[in-house]
Amino acid sequence: MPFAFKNSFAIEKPSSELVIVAVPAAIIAVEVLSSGFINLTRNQVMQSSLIETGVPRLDDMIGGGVTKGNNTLIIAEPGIDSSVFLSQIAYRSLQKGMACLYYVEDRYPKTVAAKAGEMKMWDAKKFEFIQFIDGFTSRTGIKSGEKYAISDPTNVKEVTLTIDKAVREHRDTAVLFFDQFDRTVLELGAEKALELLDSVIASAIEMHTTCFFTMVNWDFSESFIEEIRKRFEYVVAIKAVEEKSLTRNYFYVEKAPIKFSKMVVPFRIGLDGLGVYVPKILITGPFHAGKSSFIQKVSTRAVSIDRIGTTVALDHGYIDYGGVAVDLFGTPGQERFEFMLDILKKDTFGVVLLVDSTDPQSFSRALEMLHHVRKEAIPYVIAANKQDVGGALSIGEIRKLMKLPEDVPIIPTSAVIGTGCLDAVKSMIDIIVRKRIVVAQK
Amino acid sequence: MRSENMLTGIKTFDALGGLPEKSNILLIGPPGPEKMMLSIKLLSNNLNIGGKGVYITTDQLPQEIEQKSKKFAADLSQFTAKNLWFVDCYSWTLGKQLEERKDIVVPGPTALNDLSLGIAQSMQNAADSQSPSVIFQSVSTLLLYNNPEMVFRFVQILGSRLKFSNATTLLHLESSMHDEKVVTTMKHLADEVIELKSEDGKTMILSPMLGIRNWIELIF
Repeated sequence: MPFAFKNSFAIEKPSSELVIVAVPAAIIAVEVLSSGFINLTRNQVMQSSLIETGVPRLDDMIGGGVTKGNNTLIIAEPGIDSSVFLSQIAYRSLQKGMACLYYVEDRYPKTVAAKAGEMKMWDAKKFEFIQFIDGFTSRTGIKSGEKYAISDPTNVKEVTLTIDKAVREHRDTAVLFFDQFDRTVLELGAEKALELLDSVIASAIEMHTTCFFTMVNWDFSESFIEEIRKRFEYVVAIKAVEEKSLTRNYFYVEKAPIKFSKMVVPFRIGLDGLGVYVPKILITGPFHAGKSSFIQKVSTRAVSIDRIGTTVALDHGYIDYGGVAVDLFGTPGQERFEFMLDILKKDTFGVVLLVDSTDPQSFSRALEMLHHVRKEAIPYVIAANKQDVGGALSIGEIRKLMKLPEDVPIIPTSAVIGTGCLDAVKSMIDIIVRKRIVVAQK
Repeated sequence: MRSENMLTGIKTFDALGGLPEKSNILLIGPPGPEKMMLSIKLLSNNLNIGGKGVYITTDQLPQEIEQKSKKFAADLSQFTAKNLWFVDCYSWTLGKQLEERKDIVVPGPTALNDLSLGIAQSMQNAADSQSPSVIFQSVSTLLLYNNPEMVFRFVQILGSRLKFSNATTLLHLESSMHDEKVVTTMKHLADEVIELKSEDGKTMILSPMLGIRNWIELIF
């Protein structure tokens, strides 16, 4: 296996390719004070104004970390593990000597620590220092052993008073985690949930506590989400590329009180914790479909390793579009496509399948490749290449011959001239990033 | 969109042309073995012809379900971790798993996001088969521990995702445990409704949507 290839699916380390908006801490401090978000003395702010999240890339995107005393909402689509973000932030905060207060109401507190402790990269013992505000154990009829325990999690007053007590006892030094605020919303109703949120935030601001909330968006109305969003200085969205299984996740910053990077960051949760990587788009198609030229035309940088005209190893390119930085990989059109797909599929966000519009005989091979792509549930677009050549079939004819449904995008391209190639990759990225859950209406 | 029907190996259904593929079927019945028997028969028929399945349990241990399946002449344990995956949302009550198993464990019926995460994980294994069978046993446990509104949203999103994965899903609901409004909403969320009951040692079935307009005996 070529060395370059082996390198390409290692977890990505921060590199010079990133669009990093770094703002010196001092400037943030001044900004924060003038906007009145927090009520710290200048001296305190200067001492330690940023809370690092430890989430790879995120800190760089928001200028080094979250401003102390500010509040962050992490909002996720259902079925994505948003709690691991809290574990990551808690771990970093514990490392920095902060007190971690963690409100939980959907599982035993010890389960939270145990789950976080399973990650190899973290020292499980550290999580024992998390101080839980236990809104769960009482539900099971058992008495909680935690110092901060809530006997009735549906009682707004009790919840807010308990959290207030915890926060008050850790003035200036605490980070508060509130896991799955969506439960509170669905259990108490919108009005009471907002009342609780406002009360918790008020305590936090008074005691200079930095809060991180997670929330699953169970198809709430946009206006209600906005009601919640506006109460936070930082909002991080977590989404998935919606195809059969939710294996391809990404996050981006939606809101921050300073200039921030709008980069879309794909991540994976494994035993090594939360890892980010550069997503790949595979450019594939049967023999002589024009994959190498295609990659050359769309990439800002491209490398082709070829021997006697056809690519034996792979083509590699890179493109940055709409805040999404993508590696482009061309697969050899020969039999090894399935093998390549198998290796690269975990990091692959999409496939551009090139077909030679002048060679309908190659369509059966193209369809065979498409079958594998569909099997792995990877989104795809078709590029009808060689449209500049006389006798090229029209988009309609290709759709008919390949029996492709109307909702599969087919983009006319000419890799030799370069027309359409960028459109094909852009529409692929649009599909990846803009796809939303559509709950089937009856 | 009305999906195609698939044969199930269960005589009552196959006489009607089978069950609709890619659908969420609500299975309502009083406490008793009927719902489980039907689910296990459907599932094992699919597994026997090389299909895949996911069994989500909130009220029994996976090994108990495997044990019980033998009584219904369908040993599920031979398929476990090969083409059948359990999502275990019950062993949390014991504090730990009793034995080493490959099930996906969810920290409890209130951890609905973890549950959808666990189901998504298990569906990764099953999604490449033609029409995976999914058993959800049971929605009633979720309704016991969560506000109904939360469960409805969960079931709606889960249901549309499972359909997207071409799955045929049986959602269990205990008929006597919930008020009328909850049952009506659950019926509305499902594509099909099958009611079961036991009478004189026979399993009786009613499903107007499937064309069974009077209680008849369910023949396996």
